[in-house]
Amino acid sequence: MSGSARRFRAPSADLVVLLVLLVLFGMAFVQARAWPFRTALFPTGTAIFVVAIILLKLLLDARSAGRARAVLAAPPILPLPPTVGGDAASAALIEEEAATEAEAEDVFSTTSRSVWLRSLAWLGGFFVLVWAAGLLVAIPIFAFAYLVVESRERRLTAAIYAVVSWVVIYGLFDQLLRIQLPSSAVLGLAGQ
Amino acid sequence: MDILIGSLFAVLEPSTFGLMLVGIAIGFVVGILPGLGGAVTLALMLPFTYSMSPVTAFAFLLGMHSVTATTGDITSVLFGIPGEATTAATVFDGYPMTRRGEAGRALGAVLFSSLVGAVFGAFVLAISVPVIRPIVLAFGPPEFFMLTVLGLSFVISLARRNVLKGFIMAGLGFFLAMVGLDPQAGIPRYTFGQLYLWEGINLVPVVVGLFGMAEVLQLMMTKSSIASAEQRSVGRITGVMQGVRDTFTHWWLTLRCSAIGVAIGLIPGMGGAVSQFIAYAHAQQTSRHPEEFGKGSIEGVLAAGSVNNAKEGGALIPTLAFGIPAGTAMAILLSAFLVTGLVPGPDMLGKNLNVTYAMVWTIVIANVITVAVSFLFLQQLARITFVKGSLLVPFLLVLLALGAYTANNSFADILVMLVFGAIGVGAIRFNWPRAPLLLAMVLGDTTERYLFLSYSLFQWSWVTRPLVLLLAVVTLLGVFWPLIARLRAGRGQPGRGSAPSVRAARVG
Repeated sequence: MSGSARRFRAPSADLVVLLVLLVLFGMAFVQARAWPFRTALFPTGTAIFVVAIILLKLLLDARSAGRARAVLAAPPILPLPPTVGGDAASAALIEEEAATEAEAEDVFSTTSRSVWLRSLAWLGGFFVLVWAAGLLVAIPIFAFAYLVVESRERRLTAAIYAVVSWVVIYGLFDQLLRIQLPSSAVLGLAGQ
Repeated sequence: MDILIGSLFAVLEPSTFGLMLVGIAIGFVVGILPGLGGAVTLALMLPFTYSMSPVTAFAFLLGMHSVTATTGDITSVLFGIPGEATTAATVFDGYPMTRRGEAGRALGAVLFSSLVGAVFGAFVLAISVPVIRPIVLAFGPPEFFMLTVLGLSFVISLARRNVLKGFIMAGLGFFLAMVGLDPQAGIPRYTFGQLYLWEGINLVPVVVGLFGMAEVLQLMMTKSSIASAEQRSVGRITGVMQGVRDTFTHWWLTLRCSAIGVAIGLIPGMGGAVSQFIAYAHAQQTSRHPEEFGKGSIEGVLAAGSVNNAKEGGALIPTLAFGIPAGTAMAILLSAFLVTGLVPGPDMLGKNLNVTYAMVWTIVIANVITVAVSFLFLQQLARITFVKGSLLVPFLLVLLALGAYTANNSFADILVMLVFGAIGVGAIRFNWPRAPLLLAMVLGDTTERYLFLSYSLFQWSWVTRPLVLLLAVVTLLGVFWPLIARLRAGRGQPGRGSAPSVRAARVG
């Protein structure tokens, strides 16, 4: 993907986030109006402050996107000198934007959609299993399945891992530290 | 001096020392495991102290409590999951160092700076008890309110280059702090009819989700070890002593952050969750390389390491001298006074001074032992970061689930953790700073409470109190210092005069 195309993608994500937050804080403001003064003071103040910052951010983003577009549209004749002036400012702006994007070049932005979906499915599956069956049941099942399917470990290794993790969690948390572990919601519902 | 030495021997008495070692062992494990808070463990262990003498009881309880932050740093550095809510700031730079294969150096630095912080806090406790009374009494709700404002001003530093995004995240954190029953009128705010939300959103699932879940998801996607492949090929962690040397190289920073820990620890209601961010932001603000913060800066690691252990000494001062607990853990410790038949206050500075000094020694000895044991097992601990990522995933998911669940023993906490996990992932993906959200969330309700208390007690006349004005000036200086420094730098470099304005336009 070309650098220019990537430059215009990030602000659009920010735009969505900003608009969602704008709606969220707008609703928070409206809800706070129904409360007595002291109860409403901080929520109202926070909402007004954040809405103002969001609007300012939207304005600055729109302006910098316009500048960046203008600079990119211009023919690349010579490198821009690092001196005072509008073009230099825009160049610095783009340079800084590119640097920021390079920093954000992390796993999340480079991973393919299929890996994203698979990882989220495993993550979601684990917590659904914990909710449905309880942690002590979920641990060995998840550990075995994840290691065999996703990590391509041998079945014996996965089985040992599953048993050891169950023993550690049960022995350390349940028996030794007497920590309450998440229990099965399904069994809980069935018992009612 | 006799009492000081006598109390040392009292702590080293075999039965007392043995129970202190048991406490240290429990604190060691509790600190490493995410979500298991030191305060909860104190509460669980309190019933065991009924038959103990005061010195033995505090050696056991304080020995346990004072090391949780030390070992909590280990989990933060190695896995990016805060072992304690008070070690979240260690993740910012400790974990990036681990990922680039510098786990040994990060652990060496964080453990040794923790030890320095703990000794500093204990030293301040020892020398300040007789003279602290007028200082603490000079602080009322207005001064505490201004301190929270000062703390909030550090959002600018924590936001780094994304100041506007930092403000928005801080606003979100402030808004989250408002969730729950309003302390003024008892009216539920933003609870949407959910009883769970009446007590507000617990900080632990938020911290675990915001920082821990994003790291586990990254590990699930890459399946590689936490440390880099090149480092894995070396097979052995190095740089531990480099980390220790870093503490000496940046000794002034370590002491400053320790002092911040003591000062914040003194203030009721502020606690370690606040002090770590303030110290971290201070370190970034005063660093010659602020751009390295968040990417594996050793200064960031040292700041976070020293502050969270120094705060214990500070927090004990109002607890001992006035019976005013500085936080939840100190409130539980206060009940230990009642259990052992002690009355906090002037007696702790006179009749029971030996118990006070025994506490000082307990903090020092417990931390020396913990750091020594940690150093012994450092190679083994850091080797975990070379294990294939997919093998760690089930183990880390269990830690995430337990870390969140143990906050209230409610599955709703796991849901909260998942929501904040999604926010954390989004924040990394789209370059939004996470720390300002946490700082504002921690300080939100304290700010509100102290403002209304100040108004109820003094109307608006509190704004003219000398300490309030002094703190206001310090806050303004902190806010505008980066701008002043930038302008001064701009004047020193001809031809770069436009740079500040360009950056100013891009602060978001």
